[in-house]
Amino acid sequence: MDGEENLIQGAARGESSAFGQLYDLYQPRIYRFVLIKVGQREEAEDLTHQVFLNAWQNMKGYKSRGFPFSSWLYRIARNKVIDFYRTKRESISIDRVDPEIFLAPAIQQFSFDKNIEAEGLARAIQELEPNYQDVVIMRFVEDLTVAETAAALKKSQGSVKVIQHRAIKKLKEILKTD
Amino acid sequence: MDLIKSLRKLNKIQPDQEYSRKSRLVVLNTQQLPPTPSAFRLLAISSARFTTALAIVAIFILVVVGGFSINKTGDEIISGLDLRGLRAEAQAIDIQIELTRVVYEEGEETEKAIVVAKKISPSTKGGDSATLDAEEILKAIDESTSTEVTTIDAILEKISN
Repeated sequence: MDGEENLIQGAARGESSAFGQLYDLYQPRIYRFVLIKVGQREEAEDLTHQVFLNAWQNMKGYKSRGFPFSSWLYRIARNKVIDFYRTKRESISIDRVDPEIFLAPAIQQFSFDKNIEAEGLARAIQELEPNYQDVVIMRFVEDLTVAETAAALKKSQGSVKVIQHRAIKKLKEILKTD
Repeated sequence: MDLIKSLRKLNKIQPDQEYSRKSRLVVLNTQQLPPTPSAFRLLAISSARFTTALAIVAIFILVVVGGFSINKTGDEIISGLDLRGLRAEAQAIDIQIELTRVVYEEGEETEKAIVVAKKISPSTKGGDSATLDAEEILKAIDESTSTEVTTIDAILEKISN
């Protein structure tokens, strides 16, 4: 963690190599978070790029305030996704998404059966409310602690626990009906 | 429990390597932005601007309203004056000045006349009678003061007669 703190300080001073290491560390997590939320690989790539571009450009003004660096990145990513839905509302319907360009290219690591399972799960997550999506992805896909999730979402830990409980319940309902 | 395990498997999703390499390169070759001022600082700046604007407007209103009231007070002062009385007073002052001037000029002319008489008399009637002649001249002057215009020529004319 001290190493990460040094990298953050270096990046804040404008050292691109330091931010490069942070990019390598957090880019896959942010990409997964965005991909599961938007459901399209190209959009996820574009939004992830924007997240890191935004983070790099604003590194000089970054203050940790006791929260992990990842929570700041997740917050930027969350806002980018919100903007994405706001500007491209017509393209978010799951029914209209071409299965060929959906998650499949990004989930090549899985076997055929597992691909279908992962896609189905990702689609089920997308049917949740945005707050529920955030908590499910952060808590169970990215394995963040309740405190880290609360920091990233600017919510209390109690609120995160409540949302988590409701989200899992809702997700089970969606998967049952599918 | 199976659901949680399935969710954890989504962790294996990875971005395309080529995309990641290009994106990293582009991001790191972009210029960083200068740090933005804090919200408190922005608030302070905006409130200072607002206060300044408010002060300018207040001063402007004060000047306009003050100007009107001063103008009004001036009119009231003028309307409260007795213009006729003032004019009469002013005329009276002019008259006094004229009278004072006449008296002053009279005195001056008399002195001049005495000097002239003294210069003329010794050559015509002798030294002792010079004083007497001067008295006659003064008399002539006294008579001449009853007229409005008294000049040295008029006095000399009287004396020569």
